[in-house]
Amino acid sequence: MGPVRGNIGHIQLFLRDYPVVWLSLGLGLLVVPVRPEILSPLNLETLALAIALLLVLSLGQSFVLITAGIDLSLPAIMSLASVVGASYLAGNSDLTGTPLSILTAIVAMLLVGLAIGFLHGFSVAYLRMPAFLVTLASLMWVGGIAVWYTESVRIPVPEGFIQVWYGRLLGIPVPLWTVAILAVLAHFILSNTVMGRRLYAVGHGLQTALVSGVPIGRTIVFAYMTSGLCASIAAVFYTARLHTGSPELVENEVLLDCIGAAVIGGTSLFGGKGKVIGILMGVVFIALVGNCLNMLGLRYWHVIMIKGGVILLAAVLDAFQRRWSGAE
Amino acid sequence: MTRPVLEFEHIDKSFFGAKVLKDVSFAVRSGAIVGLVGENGAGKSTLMNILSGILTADAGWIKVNGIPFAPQRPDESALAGIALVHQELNLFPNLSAAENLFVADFPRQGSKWLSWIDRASLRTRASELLEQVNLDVDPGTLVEELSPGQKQLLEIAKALKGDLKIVAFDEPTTSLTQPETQQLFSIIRRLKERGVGVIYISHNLGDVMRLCDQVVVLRDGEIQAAGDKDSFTIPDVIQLMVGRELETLFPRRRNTPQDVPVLQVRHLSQPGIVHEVSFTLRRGEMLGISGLMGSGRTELARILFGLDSYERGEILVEGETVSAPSPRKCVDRGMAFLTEDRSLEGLMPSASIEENVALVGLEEFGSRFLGVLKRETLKDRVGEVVRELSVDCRRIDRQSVKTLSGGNQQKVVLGKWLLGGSRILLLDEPTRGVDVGARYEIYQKLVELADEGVSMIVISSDLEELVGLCDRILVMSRGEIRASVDRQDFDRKEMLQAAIGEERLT
Repeated sequence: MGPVRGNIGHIQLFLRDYPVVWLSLGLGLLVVPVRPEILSPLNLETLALAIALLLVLSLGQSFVLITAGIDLSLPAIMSLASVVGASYLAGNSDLTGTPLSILTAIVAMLLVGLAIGFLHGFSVAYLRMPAFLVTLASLMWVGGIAVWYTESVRIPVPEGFIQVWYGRLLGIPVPLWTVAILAVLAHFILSNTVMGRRLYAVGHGLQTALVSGVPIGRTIVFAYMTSGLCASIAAVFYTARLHTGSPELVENEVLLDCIGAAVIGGTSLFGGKGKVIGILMGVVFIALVGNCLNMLGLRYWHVIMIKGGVILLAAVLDAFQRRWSGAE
Repeated sequence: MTRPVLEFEHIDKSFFGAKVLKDVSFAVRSGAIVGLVGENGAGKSTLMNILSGILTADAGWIKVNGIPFAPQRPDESALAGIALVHQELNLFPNLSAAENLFVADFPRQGSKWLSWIDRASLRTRASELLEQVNLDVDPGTLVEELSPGQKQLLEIAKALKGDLKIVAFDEPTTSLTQPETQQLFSIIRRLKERGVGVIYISHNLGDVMRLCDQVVVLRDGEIQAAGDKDSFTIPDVIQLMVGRELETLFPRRRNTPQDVPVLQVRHLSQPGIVHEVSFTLRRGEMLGISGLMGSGRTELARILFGLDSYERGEILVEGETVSAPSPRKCVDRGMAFLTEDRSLEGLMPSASIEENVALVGLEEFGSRFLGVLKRETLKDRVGEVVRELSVDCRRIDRQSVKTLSGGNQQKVVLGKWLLGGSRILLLDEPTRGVDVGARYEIYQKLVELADEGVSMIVISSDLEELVGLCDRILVMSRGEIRASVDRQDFDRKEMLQAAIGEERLT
C-alpha cells in the first residue's frame, strides 16, 4: 500500500499513466509563441469541435480495441449512414425539414451503424473470424454500396438538419454537448457496469473469460455495435457540417486518427486496457497536432506525415511499456 | 565396468525459496540405461532442465566424460552431445518432418554471404535419421499430418543427430501405442550398444524394470535409493516413491460428506476420450480423480464443465439434468472449474487482482436493469476474499496478477470462484507450480469449504495430495474409471498400480 493520498497523488498517478498530457503541453508551449492566435476564441472553438468529432469515433473504436479487436470499417459506415440519411430527407422533406423527418433520418442513420456493427460482432464472436479481415472487407463493400447507391452524387440536406452541428445551446455548439454526454456515458459503461467489466475481461483473456462464465458472444457483439453506433453519430455531424450526404464523407485517414488517439491515450491494441479519460487526452493531442500544423501553414501531406510518425512513436512506446511492465 | 559419461554431483536447486533438488548425485555410465523415477514434483524435470541448460543449478556440478560442464543455454548442451526428448513435443506442425529435424542447422549451399537450403541433402540426411527410428514416412510430410506416436518418434530422431553422448527421455511413451513403445525400446537398446548413456524417466515402472540397468528413485528433490535394477522390486520402488508422513501437510476434516448427491454422471462417453464414466459426487465430498496424463481425467472435467462435447450419457446437477452444458450454464448452477493451465484459462495475467477476483461474481453486484455495478460493495467483497485467502500482494486494484507467485496466483483463481458463490468445484491440478507454504494454505481453505458443504472433484497427478485430502478416490486409466476407493481403504501402492494399469486390483 503506497502512501499515495489526496489530490496531488491523483494528479501524479494521472500524469504517470498518461504521458501524452506532457506531449500536448509541450506542443502548446512550442507553438503559442510563434502563433499566439492559436489561443483566440475562434480557434479554440475550432479545436474543440475537431476534438468532439474525433472523440466520438475514438470512443467507439476503443470499445472494440478493449476486447482485443479492431474496427477498420468506420469511414465506410459513416459514408453509408450519411447517404441513407440524406436521401431519406431528400425524399420526405421540404427545404427546411420537419422535426419528425429529421429525427427519423437520424434514427435511420444510427440503425445503419448498429446493423453493420452487429454483423461484425457476429462474425468475430460466433464465426471466429479475425476482426481485422471482417472490418477491412466492410470498409470496401459498405463503402462500395454507398457509392453505388448514390452514383457518387452528393445529396444536400435541409436547413433543419444542419442545426445538429451548427446549433447552439447556452452559447455552446450542440455537438460539444452531445459528445460530452456520450463521453460521460461511455465512461460510465466502462467503469460502472457489468458489461464494461466484461469488455475488459474478453480483451484480457478470451479463454479465461469463457471458462469464468462470461457470455463472450454478447459482449463482443456489444462492442462492435457500439463502434458502429458511434460511427453513425459521427456521420450525422459530418453530414450536417458539410450540408450534404456524401459517399466520400471522410478520408480513410480518420481511421488512423481515431486508433492512434486511443492508443496514445493508453488503450492497448492487445486488449484489456483503455479508459475514457485517457482516450480524451489522446484525442486532444491528435487534434492539437492537426490544428497546430495547420496554424503553422503546413500543407496537408506534411500534416499527415507528422501525424503518422507521432502515432507510430506512440505505438512503439506502448509495445515497450508492455515489455517492461512485467517487472512492475 | 565402463567409465561414467555423465555425473551429477551435489546438485541443489530452489524456486522461490522452496528447495526442489537437494544434494542430488548419481552417475550414468557409457552404454547404460538409468531409470529415473519419482512422483510428479519430485524434481525429475528440474534435473533434466539443468542438464539441458534451460535452468542452472544453485550449487553442485555436472561432469561429462569427467570434465566439469555447466551449460548456460540449450545449444551448449546440444554441442556437448546431450539430447533431451521431452514429454511435451517441441515440433512445428506447419513444417515438414525433414525441416523439423534440421530447423536449427539447415544443410546449406552457396557461399558464406549468400546461401540457401540444400534441399537434396536435407532430404537424404532426414531419410537416414527417420530410418534410424523406423519412422516410415516421407521426409516432406507435414508434422501436423503425423500421428502422436509418429511425432514422438520424430522428436527422438531429432535428438539422434550428431555425436551423441547422452540422451534423456522424459515420459516418452505416454502418447505411444504398444508396438510403437516396443519400437522405441529397440531404438534405445541400439543407442546403448553405441555406448550412449541413457536416462529414462517414466511413471510406467514395468517399462523401467524391463528396459533399464539401474534405477534412481527421487522424492521431494532427494535421492531415496539408487542401484542395479535387480536389487529392487516394483513394490519397493513405489514405496520409496511415495513414503512420507502426510499428517503435517493436510488439515483434518471435521465433517463427513452428506448423503445428498449434487453431481451425478451417468454413462458418459466420448469416443477416444472417456468411456462409460459414471459416478456421484455428494454434498461436502472431496472426490479425487487419479490417473496418468492422458488417462482422460482433465478431459472428463472439461466435458462436465461444457468446454468439450460428449456423445452419450447424462449429467445431473442438484438432481436436474443439464442438457447441452456450457461454461455459462455451469457457472449459473454454482459450478467452478479451476483449470490446469492457469495463465491461459484461469487468469487474466495483465489485469489487476481486483478485476480477476471480481470476474465470476460480477453479475450479483450489478443492478437488474442495465447492470450498474455497486462498485464499493464489490471492492469490499474482493478485499475480504483476498484477505481470507491471505493473498500476498501490495495493491489489489493496481497490481497485475502476473507479478504474483504461482501460489498467490492460484489463490486469486480460487478467490474468483469463491466470490462467485460456487458450490461444486472442479479442481484440476490445484497445486501445480505452488510452493509448499501456499499449498498448505490452499489445502486448509479447501477442507474448510468441504466442511461447510461445498463439494469438489480434485484431479491430481500427485497421489499424496489425493490421499491426504479426499474422502474417496476414483482411478482413471484410458478413459475409464478403473477403481473407486474409499478413505479407509486408501492404499497408495494399489492405486498407483491401477493407474499404471500394470496389475489387476486385488
